Amino acid sequence: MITAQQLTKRFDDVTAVNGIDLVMEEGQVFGLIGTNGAGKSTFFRMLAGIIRPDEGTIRVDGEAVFENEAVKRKLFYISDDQFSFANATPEEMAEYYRLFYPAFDCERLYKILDDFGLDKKRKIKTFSKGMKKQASLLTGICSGAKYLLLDETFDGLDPVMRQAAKSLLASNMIDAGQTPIIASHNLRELEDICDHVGLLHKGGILLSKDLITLREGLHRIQLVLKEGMRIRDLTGIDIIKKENRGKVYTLTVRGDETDIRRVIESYEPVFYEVIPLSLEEIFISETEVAGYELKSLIF
Amino acid sequence: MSSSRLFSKGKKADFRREIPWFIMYCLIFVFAIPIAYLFGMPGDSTFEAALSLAEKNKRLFNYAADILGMGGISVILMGTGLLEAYHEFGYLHRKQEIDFFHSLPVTRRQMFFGRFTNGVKTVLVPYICALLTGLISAALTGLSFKEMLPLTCTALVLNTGVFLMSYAVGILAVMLTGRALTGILGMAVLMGYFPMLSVVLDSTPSVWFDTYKAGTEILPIRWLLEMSPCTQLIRYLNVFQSRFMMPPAYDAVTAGFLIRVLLGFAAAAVLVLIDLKLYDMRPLEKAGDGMIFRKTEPVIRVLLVVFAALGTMQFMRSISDRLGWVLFFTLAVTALGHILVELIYRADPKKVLRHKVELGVILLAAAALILILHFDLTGYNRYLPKEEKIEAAELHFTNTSNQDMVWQVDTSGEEYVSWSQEPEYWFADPEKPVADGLYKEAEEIGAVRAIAEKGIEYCEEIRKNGTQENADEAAVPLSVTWHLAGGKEVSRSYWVRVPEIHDEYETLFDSETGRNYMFPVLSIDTDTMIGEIQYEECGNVIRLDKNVREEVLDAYLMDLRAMNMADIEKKAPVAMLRIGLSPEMLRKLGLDDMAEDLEAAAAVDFKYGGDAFFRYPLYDSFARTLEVLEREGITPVTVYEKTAATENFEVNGWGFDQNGNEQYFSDAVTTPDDIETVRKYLVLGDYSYYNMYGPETVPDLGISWSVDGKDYTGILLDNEETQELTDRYYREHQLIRNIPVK
Repeated sequence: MITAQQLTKRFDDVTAVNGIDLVMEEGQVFGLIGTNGAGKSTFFRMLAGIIRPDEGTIRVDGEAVFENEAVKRKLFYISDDQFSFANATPEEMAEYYRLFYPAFDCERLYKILDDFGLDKKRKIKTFSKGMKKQASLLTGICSGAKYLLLDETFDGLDPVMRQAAKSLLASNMIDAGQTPIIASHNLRELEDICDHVGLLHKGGILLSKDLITLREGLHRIQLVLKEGMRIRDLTGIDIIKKENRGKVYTLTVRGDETDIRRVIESYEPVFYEVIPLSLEEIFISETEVAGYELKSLIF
Repeated sequence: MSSSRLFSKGKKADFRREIPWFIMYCLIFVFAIPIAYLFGMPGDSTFEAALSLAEKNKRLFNYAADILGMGGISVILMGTGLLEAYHEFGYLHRKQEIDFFHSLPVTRRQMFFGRFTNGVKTVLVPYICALLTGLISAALTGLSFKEMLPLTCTALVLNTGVFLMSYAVGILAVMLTGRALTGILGMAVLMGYFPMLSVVLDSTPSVWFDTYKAGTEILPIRWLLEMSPCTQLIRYLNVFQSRFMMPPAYDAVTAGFLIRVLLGFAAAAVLVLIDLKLYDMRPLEKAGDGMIFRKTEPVIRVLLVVFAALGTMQFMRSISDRLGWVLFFTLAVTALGHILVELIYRADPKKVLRHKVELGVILLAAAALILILHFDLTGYNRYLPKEEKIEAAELHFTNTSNQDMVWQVDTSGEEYVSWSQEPEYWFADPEKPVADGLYKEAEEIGAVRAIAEKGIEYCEEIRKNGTQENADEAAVPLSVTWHLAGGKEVSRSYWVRVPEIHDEYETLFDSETGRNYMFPVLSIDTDTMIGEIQYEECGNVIRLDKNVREEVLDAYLMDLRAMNMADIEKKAPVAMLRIGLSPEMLRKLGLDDMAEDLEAAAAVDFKYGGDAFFRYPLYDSFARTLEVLEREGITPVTVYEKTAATENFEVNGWGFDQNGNEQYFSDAVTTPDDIETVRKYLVLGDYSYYNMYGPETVPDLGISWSVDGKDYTGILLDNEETQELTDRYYREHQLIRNIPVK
C-alpha cells in the first residue's frame, strides 16, 4: 500500500503539490488524472524517491521512500521521457536493470518485445517515440517490481498498442502481483483499466474515488413525467443535475439504483430509463458539484 | 550484494559508453609521456662532446623530470580532473538522467562514490599505463629503470594529488550549479577567482598611488592566493620542481616535502566530503536552474560584481587618469556585470534588475572608492613619518648603479671574450644586499626625510600639472623605506630633482652606511671573494698581475672609503676597475643563477672557465690606487691633459639629415685649437656608472684615438667650447642631433 499524508512540494514560489492525502491499495490500478502542471510528475518523483518532500510523508508498505534502497526496489518508475544510454539496445538496458531489480525477467521481456514487434538488439535511439514508450512499458512490466509507476506512458501509443498494453498490465497484476499506478491527462484512456482514480488540480487532490463506488452511486435517468407534473415535484431522490429538452428530462441522480427506480416509479412517469455514465460524465458531475468546470481541469 | 557494488557493476556495464573517454585519455597520456620521452629527450648529437657521462645523464634526468612533473602533465591532469567531474556528475544538470538514476534502488551516497571512483579509474588507469610504458621509452633514451622508477613513482603520487584536487573542485562546481554553462563558469570561478582578485588588488597601489614602491604589500592579501585550488596545485608543481630540479634534493625526502604532499591530499579529501554533503542536500528538481542553492546566489553575485568593479577601475586607471572616464566605465561595466550574472542565474531578462538595492550599493561603493583613491583622501602620497618615530631609513636611487657587470670568459689563458650585461644585479643577491643601506644616525635620517619631502612636493606638482611624462629631465627616481618604532616598515617611491637634494645626498654619500651601500665591495671579504682584477680605460682592458691584486684592491678600498663628494662632483672617473668573481664566489654570495649562466656559457662555447666582473670607478683623487698602478706601468690616458702623447683624434657622431634619416660620420680632428679642446676636455667614455653629480658630457659624439698601437674611445665634457666644436661638425655634415618634435 502506498500512502501519502499531507504531501507537499514547493519550487520557489510555486507549490507543485499541496498537502495531498492519498491511499493507493495493492492489487488495484490507480489512475492519477490532472492537466499539465497539476503536480502529477512531481508526485510521482516523490513517490519514486527522486526528490524529497518539503512537508508530509509518502510511504510504501509503511516505509518512507526517500533514500530507502529496499523500498525503491519495490518501485519501477517510467517517466514521460524515459532515459536510455546512448547507443543502448533494449537488451542492454534490461541487463542493466537486472543489476538493480533481482526479479527482472529478461527472457520474458525479450519474448514480449518480439510479440510487440520490437527488436531487442536495435538501438533505442532509432525507435520512434511510440516505440520507445512501448519498450519502456514492457521493461517495467518485466521488472518484477511490486509497484509500477507510469507517468503519461500511454500517451503516444496507438489505440491497438494501448489496448494490448492494458491487457498486459491486467494480466501482470494477476500473475505477478504488480500494482500499476498510472498518471495521465486523458480520462478516457484510463477508463477501462483503472479501479481507483484521483483527480489532481493545482497540486491538490480534488477527489479520489473507487470507480465502482462512483459508478454505483451516480446514475443518469431520462424520463418523461405525467401531464401536469414538474421535476420539482419529485422528492425522495438526490438530483445533482437536471437538463431538459421539451418534456424529456435528463437527471443525474446520486443514490442506490433500486431506491431511485422505486421512487420514480411511484410517480408513474410516462417513460423513464436508467443510462450508464461514462467516467468522464461521472467526473463532470462530481466536479461541477464542487464548483469546477471539468474541461478546465482535464481534456 | 550492496547497492554500492551494484552501482559499480552498473558503471562497468556502462563501460562501453566510457570507451571513447578512456581512449581519449590514453592518447593524451601516451603522447604526453612515452612518446614525449622518445621525441623530446635530447639525443647524443645534441650534447657537447666535452660533457661527461654523468653530466649528460643529469641533463637527461632533468628532461625526464620536466616531462613527468613540470607544467605539461600536471596541467593535463588538472584539466582532466575538471573534465571528468562534468563527465561523471554533469547528469545532475539533466532531468531525464536524474529521473533515471535516482529512481534506481541506490542511495545517493553510494551513487556518489560509484561515480567518483569511476572517474578516478577512467583517468588514472591510462595515466599509470602511460607511466609504465614511459619507463620503457626512457630506457631507450638511455635512462635506466633504477633511475627512473623513483622519479616515476613520485610523479604518480604528486600528479594523482593534482588530479584529485582538481576533480573535487570540478565536482563542487557541478554541485552548486544547475546548467552546463553555469557549471563551467563555476569551475573557472572556483579555480581562479581568488588569485585573480589578488592580482587586481595587488595592482591597486601601483595604479593609484604615485608614491607606491613596487613590491611592498599594502593590503594583507597574500592569503587570497591560498584560497584557490589553482594556487595549491601550482604549489604542488613547485614542490615537484624543487624536488627534481635541484639535483641534490631529489635524493632526500624531506619532512617539509612530505607534509605538503599530505596536506594536498587532505585538502582533496575535505573537498570530496563537501561534494558528498552537497550531493546529499542537492534538490534534484532544480536541474536547469542557474544555481542550485539559492543562498549561494547573492554571495557569488556580489563577489563577481565586486571583481568586475575593481578590475575595471584598475584597468581604466592604468590607461587614463581622467576621473570621468574611470568613473563612467567602472560603473557601466559593474552594472553590466550584475545584469550578466542575473541572466546566467535566471535566463530571464525581466529579472535582471531584481536586486537593484544591492547593485546600487556596489555602484556607490565603487564610485566612492574611485574618488578616495583619485584624490588621495587617505593621504598615502603625502605620508611622511615624524622624525621621532623613525628608527632607521633606507634610501635607494632606483636608476643608480654604482657598478656595471661584464661577463668574461677566458679562452686560452691569454685572450678572453667579454660582453656586457645590464646591471641587474647588485654585488650580491639583490634580495639580501651585503650592506643593508640602513641609515640610523639622526643626521642621516634627517637627510633622507628631507629628500622624501622634496619627493612629495614634486609628486604634488606633477599631479597638478600633468603626468610624469612631462617631468623634469633633472628628476631621478628613488625609494625610501622607513623603519618605525614597533617594527613597522613603510615604503614609498618618489621622483626628485637632483639639484634640490644636493646637500642631503652629500650627507648620505659621506656617511659610512651610504658609502658601504653604494659600493658593496667595501662590505665583502675581499680575500676569499675577489678573483681577477682588471684595469679598464677608454675601451682597453689590462689584466693585472695576480701578485699586485691584493695591493691594488687594498689601495682601492682605502681610496673608496676616503672619497667624498668633492672628489666626484663634476668629475668623470679616469678609469674603471673590473673586479671579478668566479662562479664559485658568486655562489657564496647567493648569486646561483648568475653562476650557472656563467658556467653554462663557458661549458658550451669555451674550454676554460669565466668570471663575472663588476666595474667600479677610479677617480683622479684615488692617489693610493693610482700609485700602485703607476708602479705597474699603468697611467690613465684621459682627463686633464694627460693625452698629450697623441694628436690623432677622430670625432664620431650620428644625427639626422634633412629627410630624417639617421646618418653617422667620422672625421679627423685637425686644427690645433680643436685638438687642444679635445685633449683638455676628454674623459672616459663608457664608464657605465651613474653619478648624479657627475659632469655633463656631450651626447652622441665620441672621440677615438690610438697610442702605441692601442685604440681608445672617449667622450667630451659638455661646456661652451665643446658645444661649439660639436655644432661645427654637425653643421659641416648637415646633420641635426634630434629630429624636432612636430
